[in-house]
Amino acid sequence: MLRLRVAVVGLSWIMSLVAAGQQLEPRLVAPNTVSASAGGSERLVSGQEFGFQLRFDPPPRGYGGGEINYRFENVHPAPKQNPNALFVSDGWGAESGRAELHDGQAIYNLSLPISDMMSPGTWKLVGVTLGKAVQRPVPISGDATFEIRPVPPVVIHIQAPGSVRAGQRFTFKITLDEYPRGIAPGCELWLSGKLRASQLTPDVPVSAVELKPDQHLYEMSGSFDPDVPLGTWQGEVNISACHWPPRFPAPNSAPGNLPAPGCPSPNTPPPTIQDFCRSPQLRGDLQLRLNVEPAVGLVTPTSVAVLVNPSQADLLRDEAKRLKAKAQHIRQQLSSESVAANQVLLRNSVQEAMSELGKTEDAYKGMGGEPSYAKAINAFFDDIRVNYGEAIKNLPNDSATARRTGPRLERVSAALGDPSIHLNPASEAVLGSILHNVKAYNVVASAGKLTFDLEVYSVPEGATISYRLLGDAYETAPRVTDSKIENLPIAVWYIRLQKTGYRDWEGRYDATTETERSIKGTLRRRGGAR
Amino acid sequence: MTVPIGKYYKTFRGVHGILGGLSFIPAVIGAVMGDKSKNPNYFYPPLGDVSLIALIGTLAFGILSTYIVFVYCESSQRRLHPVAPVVLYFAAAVGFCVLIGLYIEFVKVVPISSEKTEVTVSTGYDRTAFVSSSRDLANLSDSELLHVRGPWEDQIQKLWTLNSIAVARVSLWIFYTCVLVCLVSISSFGVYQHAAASGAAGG
Repeated sequence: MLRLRVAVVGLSWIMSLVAAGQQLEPRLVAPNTVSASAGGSERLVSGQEFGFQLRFDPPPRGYGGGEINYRFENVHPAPKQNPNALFVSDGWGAESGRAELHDGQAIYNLSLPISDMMSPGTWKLVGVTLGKAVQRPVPISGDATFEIRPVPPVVIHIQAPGSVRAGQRFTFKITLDEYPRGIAPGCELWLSGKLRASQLTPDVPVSAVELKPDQHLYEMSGSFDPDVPLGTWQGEVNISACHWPPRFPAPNSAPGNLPAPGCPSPNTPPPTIQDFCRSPQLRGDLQLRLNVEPAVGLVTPTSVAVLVNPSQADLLRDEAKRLKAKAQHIRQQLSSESVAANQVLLRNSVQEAMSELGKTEDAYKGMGGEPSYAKAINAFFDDIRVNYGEAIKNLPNDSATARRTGPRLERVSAALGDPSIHLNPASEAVLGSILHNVKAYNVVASAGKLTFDLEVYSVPEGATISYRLLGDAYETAPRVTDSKIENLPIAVWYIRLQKTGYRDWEGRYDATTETERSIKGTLRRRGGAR
Repeated sequence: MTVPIGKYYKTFRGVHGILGGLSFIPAVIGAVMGDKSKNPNYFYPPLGDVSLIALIGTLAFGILSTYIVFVYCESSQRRLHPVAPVVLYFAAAVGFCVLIGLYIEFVKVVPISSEKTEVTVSTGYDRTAFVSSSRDLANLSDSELLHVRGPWEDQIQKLWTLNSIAVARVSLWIFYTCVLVCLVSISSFGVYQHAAASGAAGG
């Protein structure tokens, strides 16, 4: 009997050990299929969530944790709303999510947040994987689909003043048929625009206005400088959507520095992906058109007194070249440095430029000149100094002055040659003040000569322009084609165009005989093909 | 009997004075032409940046020559040597010939047909090392150099040595001024004679 008891106890002990062993090393059960089903509305807009259920068969076991990953794809995208946009303004075509894996749990109720980054169209669950160390796919049965509808278009009508005098403000009246539905919560809609006389003139911006749900009439205004080219200026109204102020500041923006109100250009990516808002298509009258008439009271000088002797002209010309190179160097450094370093660099650059301005002024005065011109010379250098002073004031808080300096800044970007790099307003103001100095020196250095502006075109565009007089080395122009070289003294100029992948092109332009102030070069691809 | 200076200068309003005044006309036109670099100036030698000062000097010497003649005539007791105007006349003629030679050598007119104008400039006789060492420029004539580089003062000073430019321009100024002074002096002698004769007839 005792033996039997011992045997039963021993057997029980062994059995419990086996059971415990089985609990320590459970058997891995991977599901064969997962069935998906939608639990809510199938037509969704940004800000809503798509609820769906995953049912694994058999329930996954033995993973001891891990996660379930799922992936939706836009299987039937809606037609693109803005086919010309450089940035993918219609958003992404795939979105994924994850959930925690629980051993033995077969049913998972999940939800996918709908954001503006998800492109309009029909979205479908296309993949489910699970695992801990390694994610393995699970075949899907059933259907979990939903539809993101495009934002309906906005129809506008423009009432233009017809003509405006240079130097005066102009106002366009914009009427909106209906505020668009389907705009994501927190996103604002802005109308913006700009006017242009030709490819070679700087744009004149039109003030941006925010669209409000209860407002249909808006006014967009701007102003022309008194000396802008006369004639027809035209442009187009754009619409863009964004979060204002940005919910997530750009990684390289200084704390407390907000960009100017309004959305950036429709072709510019948002500071962060989370700030992306889908904008509706604009329909109706989109063309802005104005005829600019001569400014009242604008007196254009017909001659210039020669205040400059050749030595002084050489001094100013050399200084202008040096400053131009300096501006380009600063811009290259700005594009790679941090914001704090940029601030230091900009401040030091302006201070250096002001110090050099003083030295140039002393040297200029030391080279002689009529005493009666002393007042004019002082005013000339003081004007440049004031410009640098304003640039320094912009540095501590660039956002406060962004609007005021706006029109000039666009010209600065163009003048520096690489429009792809966007500088903040303070940086542009500093570079603008240096370029202002360059231009002032060049204008005075060329006083007393017949000068002209040469428009340089190339096929294809974007070629680097160099120019020289016979006997000199080539000097690179600040802008690429198509653009204009300003203030060239009348002489015979040699123009060289260079573009990667193309053979260099060289042409001769005799400004003493040619009346058409332009030159065009057709670049041939390397290897012979045109 | 002496001629009062007031009467002497009043007599310039007559025929003799008008003849003397004619000598100033080219220089005055040169001054009135305005922007020297944008208009052809055939009436006064192009002297670069010193044109204005040089022109003032020429006019001052011309006007002063009337006074010099007056002083000379007064000191010589109104007995003017008849050879003096003839000498001046020939001096003016010789000076004018030299001036023509200097113009041919140093003054260049660069046509700028695109602007429907011409630019008149003076150069030097000795080219700089920049030109002589340049393969592109060394073989060009003076006019071609000005055409390709532009007829502007900074270019001229880059293409010719400063000394040679200075010598050329000073020569141009001296001979131009000499011719003018000679012509004005000749007419001033006539004015003086006329004033003295009318004084004698009246007295």
